[in-house]
Amino acid sequence: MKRFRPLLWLLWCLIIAAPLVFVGLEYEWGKGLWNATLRTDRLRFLVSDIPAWVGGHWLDVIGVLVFLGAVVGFLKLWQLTAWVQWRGEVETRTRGRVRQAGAMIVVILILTLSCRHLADTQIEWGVMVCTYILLALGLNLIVGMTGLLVLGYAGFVAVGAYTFAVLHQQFGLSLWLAFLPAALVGGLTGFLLGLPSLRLRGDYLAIVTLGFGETVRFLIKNLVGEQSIIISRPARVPSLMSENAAWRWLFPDGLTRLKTELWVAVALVVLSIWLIRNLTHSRIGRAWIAIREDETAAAAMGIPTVRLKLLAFTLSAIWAAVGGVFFVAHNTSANPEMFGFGESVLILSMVVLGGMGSGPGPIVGAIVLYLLPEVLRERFPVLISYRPMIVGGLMVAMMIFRPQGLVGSLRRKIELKEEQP
Amino acid sequence: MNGAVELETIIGGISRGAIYALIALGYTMVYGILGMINFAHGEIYMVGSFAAIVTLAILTTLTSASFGLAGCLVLSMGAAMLVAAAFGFTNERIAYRPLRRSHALAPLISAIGVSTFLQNFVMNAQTKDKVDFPRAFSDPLWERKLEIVGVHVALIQLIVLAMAVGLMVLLHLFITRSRTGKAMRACSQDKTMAALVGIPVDRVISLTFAVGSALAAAAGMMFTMYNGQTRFDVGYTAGVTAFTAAVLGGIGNIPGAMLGGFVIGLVEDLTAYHLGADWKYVAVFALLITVLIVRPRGLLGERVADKV
Repeated sequence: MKRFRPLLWLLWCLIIAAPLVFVGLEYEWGKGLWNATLRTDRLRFLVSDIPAWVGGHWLDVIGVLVFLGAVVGFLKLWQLTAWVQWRGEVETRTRGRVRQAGAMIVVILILTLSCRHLADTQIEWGVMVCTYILLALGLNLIVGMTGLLVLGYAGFVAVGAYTFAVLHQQFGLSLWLAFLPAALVGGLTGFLLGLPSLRLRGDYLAIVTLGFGETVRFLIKNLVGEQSIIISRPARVPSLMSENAAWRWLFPDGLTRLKTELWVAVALVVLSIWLIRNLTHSRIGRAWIAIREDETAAAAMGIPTVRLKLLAFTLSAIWAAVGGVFFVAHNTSANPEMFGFGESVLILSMVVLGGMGSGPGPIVGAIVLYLLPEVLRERFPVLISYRPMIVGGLMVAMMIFRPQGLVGSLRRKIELKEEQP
Repeated sequence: MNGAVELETIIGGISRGAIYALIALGYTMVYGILGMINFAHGEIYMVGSFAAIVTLAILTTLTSASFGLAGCLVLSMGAAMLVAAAFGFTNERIAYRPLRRSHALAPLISAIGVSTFLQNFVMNAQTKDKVDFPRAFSDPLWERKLEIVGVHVALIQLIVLAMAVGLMVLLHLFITRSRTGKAMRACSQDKTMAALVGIPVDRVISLTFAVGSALAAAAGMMFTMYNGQTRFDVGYTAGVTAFTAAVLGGIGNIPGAMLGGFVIGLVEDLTAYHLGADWKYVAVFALLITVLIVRPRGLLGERVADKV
């Protein structure tokens, strides 16, 4: 009986969901009443269409399964190398560095060689994935490393994005000069919000940051306006090296805007990985982990907890602001609705899926949650509209079955599973 | 400033506040027992509002609304409360119970997952557009206006207020007078001790979620009737507003949630009237942050919130 319990729960969920799924509504204007209709199309969908579709597309299904299997296999291999590295304790740090540097060089080589052949949509995916990786890395600093749940991350992204958008609109500031002011304003916002609110305990802090995210959106709506700000960019970037033969081979049709963005985004991601890696292995990073594991004990050991939490908050806001600049530059418009709660949840779920507090975790999370639905968009068009639902379900499942995330550390697993007094 | 209009705004704020109080009760009851913020509570409220509209549609189609106006409304409210109670119960069993002994972040993230899931479930299952409350049921209640010394009060405002207060009184009696209510209070004081004296703690927690969700559904139905429409994302704003009410009154404290709800309703309507509708969210969030920082235990809370 116990083996069938999950199935019984599934059946129960179907039963309670049935009134909302199988009853359709039709408005009758004259009477001001809704008429109920039975959604037989959905019944048919469940009973006959899905099996028929799977029968017709079994190659696709097998392909997706193989891909997921390959991802899991790769992660296992990665963990294996980590284990080997852990056995040889003396060499740990250099070998870890060699491993990561090697992985990065391979990625950059693949990118360089394939850049010639990439279509515009693929470059666009690349830019967006890099943006999300930046944002996830930044959020991981505060959620993963310091253990403070921030639910209004999109608010910081909006601050950076609008700093750039408004400066661009008023003074024609270009993308390359916008990073500095955006990072400054973003960091300042994070610092100012952190000052009063970091005194609060975990779940209250989550609510305050959630409120902050919403407040930013409403303030932008009321102060800047609800219309989108259009960001005009040149289609082609002039380059000094355009006569070089190797350069011509790499970029046969010149340096387009998209390709420049991709390269800058990749450079920013590499820089962030390096910075964050060094930061987390430093005194500061160890102090963050201590705060995450037991704040009272950390304070008792002489760690200035408030100052360090504030630092994490500010840094994470700076990353958000830089990501935000990219976000709107790539979208060529900024709108307050782009930075809603859904965006915060998406970034948070990338961190959770990949592994809170792990180095490669947010990267894997961003790739899986952004790239997979986009790549599969043509084959499985439903996937994009169901993504938020899948994200929600995944967050619950991850917390129950694998709280440390796909590539999380054992240490984090023990921490998250440990019994609370 | 027109005195009568001001009074009408205040009355509108009070009936809106009564609805917030009903949602806030769910937050505060769960916090009282489990010490966690049930993020998905706003979504249960939204599910309740949809369930009420679907029930009304079924009633109109199958029985051509032969129960009369009041009968149909009461039936749909009952159905919405049942559906929402089932959702709340399931939510706790699947997403929170396995995580009860883990790190404080785990149930919170799980709750956000449930909230995202439910929102998009309703969006995919029903529609992403606004859904009107059937005019035939709500308009007669708006059109009947009572005039008391120059102040116009719509019948619907009085009905909403009366029903909300009635439900609150019922809840109060249930918690203070019944055996199960006593068990709930015992669990919220000390779960281990309650288990030792033979109280089925798990069942009490399930019941708390079911009762809180039913109250949220009643609120969802009344708010949709009052506002005229609902959408898959209404649970988010209503949830945060009601949570503010719960914190304002002192989270974990049931009379506090009721008081907080009324205060928030008044603040919202007065801000909307004096500054414009766009500012009311900013006002609510500003109030929330101020309360959390200046007086985290709220107006009526006795327990000091455990800040680290």
